[in-house]
Amino acid sequence: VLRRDPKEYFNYLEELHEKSYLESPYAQYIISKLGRTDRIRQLLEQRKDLRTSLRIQYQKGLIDGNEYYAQVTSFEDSIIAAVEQLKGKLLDNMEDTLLPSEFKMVGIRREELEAFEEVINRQFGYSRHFDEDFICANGDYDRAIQLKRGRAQNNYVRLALLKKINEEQLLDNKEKLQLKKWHEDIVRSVTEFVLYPEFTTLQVADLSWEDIQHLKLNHSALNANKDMLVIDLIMELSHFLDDGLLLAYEREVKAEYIHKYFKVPPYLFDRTSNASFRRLEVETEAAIANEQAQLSPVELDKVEEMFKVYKSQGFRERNRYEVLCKRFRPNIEQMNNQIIRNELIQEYIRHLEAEFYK
Amino acid sequence: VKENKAAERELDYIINLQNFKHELKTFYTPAKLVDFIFGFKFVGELGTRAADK
Repeated sequence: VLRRDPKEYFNYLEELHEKSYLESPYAQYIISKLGRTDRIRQLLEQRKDLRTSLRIQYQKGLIDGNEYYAQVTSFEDSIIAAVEQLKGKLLDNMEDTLLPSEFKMVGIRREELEAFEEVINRQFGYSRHFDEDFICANGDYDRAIQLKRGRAQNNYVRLALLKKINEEQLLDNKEKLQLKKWHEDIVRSVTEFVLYPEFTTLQVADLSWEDIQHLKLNHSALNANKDMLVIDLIMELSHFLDDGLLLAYEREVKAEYIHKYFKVPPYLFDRTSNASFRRLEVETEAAIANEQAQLSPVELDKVEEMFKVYKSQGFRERNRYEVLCKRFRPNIEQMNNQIIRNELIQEYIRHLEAEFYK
Repeated sequence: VKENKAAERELDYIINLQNFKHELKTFYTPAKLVDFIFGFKFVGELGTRAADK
């Protein structure tokens, strides 16, 4: 059997990910510059940590929203300053100042930090040290590549099944069994990481005549290496396919299962992998924003003052006015906790005015 | 000599593979590529052959 360097395969995977994200010349330009100065990446990491720790403190009631925003903003300012500094350096080093203007736009705004962070982190989208198969192999490359082969075979068969279902073809008994086994594996993967150590030992020489013909393209042919494993061919071909499709399907099946047995709502398993965590983040930030939008005691006093104008002149009015005033302050304080506080308070005042001048 | 030959064959294989993938990328539309990838007869036999277990 044609041997294959397993280490090279993992190198290739890492390269592949880098390449695919560096297609944009703009991102490539920034990242190449950032490669030299690691400072901005560190700052972005620190920003993430800072926000997480601040959120926790906020949830525990140790800080209020004002402080949260003040700290995050000041930190973001330092990142923007660092980018500006880098930009200045780049322009200084640029021998040709006649470059097209978009190359000078390395500056960044606060709203763009999120996207910026994504661009930078994507470069490290794949690392063998975060690859579950590689971790399970305990750093043994030969074992790791075998696990990869097994996984590639399974993914290949499953995508073929999905293709068939998508084209509304009928599945035969064998395929139905495969589908059933796949679903069992998905359910199993809820609680453990499923390994696929088995793969076909078929070689190219064992293929049927039709398949050999199929492998002959216009100018190149892969059937020259007769002792090549077919599974290696599948691994290469699978790089053209998107296994995100499989993950999306598996996630839906998993979500159904978890909802059925553990009563966790399925919306927590959205398409993006960290959607559930994002949602929690968004909820906390919304709570902070809500707290920020509340009227302060001073503002409440002003609302009360505005309400009192021209309402305390005659004796009869004063009596009625005192009754109204007694419930005015506690009521608007209660409304202040609601998200639609402005509409509520306006409606309430309108209602009281109508009552007062009845 | 043996090692050299093995290395040569591996290089041969890599060049073959690169040409092959390059041709697939350049001359095949996405739909045609998918048809090619799943067009093999052995798809149905994978994982069910007795020799593989």
